[in-house]
Amino acid sequence: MANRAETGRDGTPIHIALTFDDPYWAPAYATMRSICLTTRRRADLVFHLCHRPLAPEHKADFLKLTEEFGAKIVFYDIDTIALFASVAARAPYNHRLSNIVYARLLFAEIMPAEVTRLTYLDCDMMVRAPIEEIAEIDLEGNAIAAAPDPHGLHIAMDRDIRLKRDLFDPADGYFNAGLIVIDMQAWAEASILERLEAAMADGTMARLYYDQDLLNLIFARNWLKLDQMWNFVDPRPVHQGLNPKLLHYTGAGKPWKRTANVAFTRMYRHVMTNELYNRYAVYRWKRGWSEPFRKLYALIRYR
Amino acid sequence: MAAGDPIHIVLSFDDGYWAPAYAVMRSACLFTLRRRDLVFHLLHQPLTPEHIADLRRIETEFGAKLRFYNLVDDPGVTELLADSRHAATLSTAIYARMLIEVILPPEIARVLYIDCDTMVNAPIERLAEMDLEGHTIGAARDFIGSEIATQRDMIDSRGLFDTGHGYFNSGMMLIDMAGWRRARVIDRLRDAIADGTMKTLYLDQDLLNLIFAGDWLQLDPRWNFTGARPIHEILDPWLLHYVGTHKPWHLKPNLAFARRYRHVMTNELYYRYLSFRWKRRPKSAWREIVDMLLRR
Repeated sequence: MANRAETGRDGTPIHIALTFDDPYWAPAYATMRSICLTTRRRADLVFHLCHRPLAPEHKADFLKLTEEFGAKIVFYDIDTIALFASVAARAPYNHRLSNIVYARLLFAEIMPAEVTRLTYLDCDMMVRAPIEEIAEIDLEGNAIAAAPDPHGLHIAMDRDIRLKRDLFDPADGYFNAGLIVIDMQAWAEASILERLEAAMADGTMARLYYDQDLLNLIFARNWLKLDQMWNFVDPRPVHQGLNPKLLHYTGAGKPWKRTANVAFTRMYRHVMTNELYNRYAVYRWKRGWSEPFRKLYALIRYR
Repeated sequence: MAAGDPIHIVLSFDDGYWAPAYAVMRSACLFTLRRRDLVFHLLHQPLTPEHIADLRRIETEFGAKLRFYNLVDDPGVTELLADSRHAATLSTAIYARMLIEVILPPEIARVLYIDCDTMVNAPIERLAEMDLEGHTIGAARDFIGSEIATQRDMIDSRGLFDTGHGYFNSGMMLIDMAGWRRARVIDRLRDAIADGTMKTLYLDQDLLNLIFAGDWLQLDPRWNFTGARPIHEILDPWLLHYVGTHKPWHLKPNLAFARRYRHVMTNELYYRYLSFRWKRRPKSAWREIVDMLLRR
């Protein structure tokens, strides 16, 4: 476990991981830029981007963050990693987010050895407070830190909060896996891939809500409970007064859509930068024509 | 107080509210690891055997204990309840909480009273075993308490309340029984009925606030979060109190965690309770006429 005395000062790298497909490069950029904007330790930031093949112009967008803030960026094309291909092909297909979600299960295998502490974030997030406040938090002996999911009970427990009682205890709580502060040694020791293989083999995986449920199973009673403000799920304009530190746009309304009724939409546009915001709107509009066909393909291919 | 020590929880209801009472108990059991320490004291009007069987499922599912107190079995209680009924139109069951010192076994030192239109969402021992710092009552502030107490223009025309004391919502009260006995609650209730004060009060909540003014510890509002809507879910209230006319056992209510409530009550009981209330609904004038014609 990372020693607190060795971290927490200028010059110590802050490792941050994001996982996304090419079409989500712009929201990933916005999440990263929001982190850079709200910390003074910009030069300490190291972004580890686990992505499917990226268009060169999108890669260039990310590199602008290095120019603007001095943050480092490391790219991992996970499609070239045979292990990921093997896991993603066999795990239940996530129709909402694609199987990129499983990339985070491979952090122990992908990340270089010098990464002892890693903060993972979803790409539908905007950070509004210094990230080191959680990235360097004392884990108090736990393997990870995360914030509770207010809707976790529905996700994990199913009908009458009875059907999955053999797997989950509602009294243990349930975290949202969109933000995880990871002690890499404990993460590696948890042998997540073996647990995933076992869960696929014995049929447990079919009863779970993708990897979020699996992570909750593996790390039950082994996670530090972060303040809800550090993973504020489905923020609406009425919540702005609560001054959330990390916004997690989990609802159908995403802040990169012009009409979304969510918190801080205007700020989000400026964080993404107006140029990219507008370019992303055009990109999505063009892609929109082929969307139904791609969805149909995914349905047939990953039934 | 530690694992193994009993946690005493008091609910008060009549037969028509057996299903919400079940949901409160089940929610308390779901979110604690100390399920076997929970002792529910149910102050009730006569219950039908099948409703008692429903409530008993809490014992089989979680190992918690249930104690039933049929209020009509106790002549003293019946008399007092009859008296207090003159003062208000509310179901008599709610007044039973004023009489806990004579109803509950005397060895119980501390109880947690909860209304039946609530749902627990956190380990209940964190509330039940809280340090009361020398106070008799632990409760949360009633958001509209000052209006209830001082009424029009917030001028205390009755000369009863000082807004400086604050005003608590009596839907959740953590009670130190020794302090409660010292306060002579039943005598105060009798006096208030006798001298007519009770008629001017907002039920027993007003009286409790008068009796325990300055003697209650103000708890975090999340321990009695009144009127929560879906927008409040992210605040993760620890005890939801569905005050007002919309109740989570209604169909499609616009309330926080309404869907969870259905699963906590269990779907089978939720729909059975729905049909129970439908059958019991007051007859409309039209139906009276139709029935009358049919009888002829």
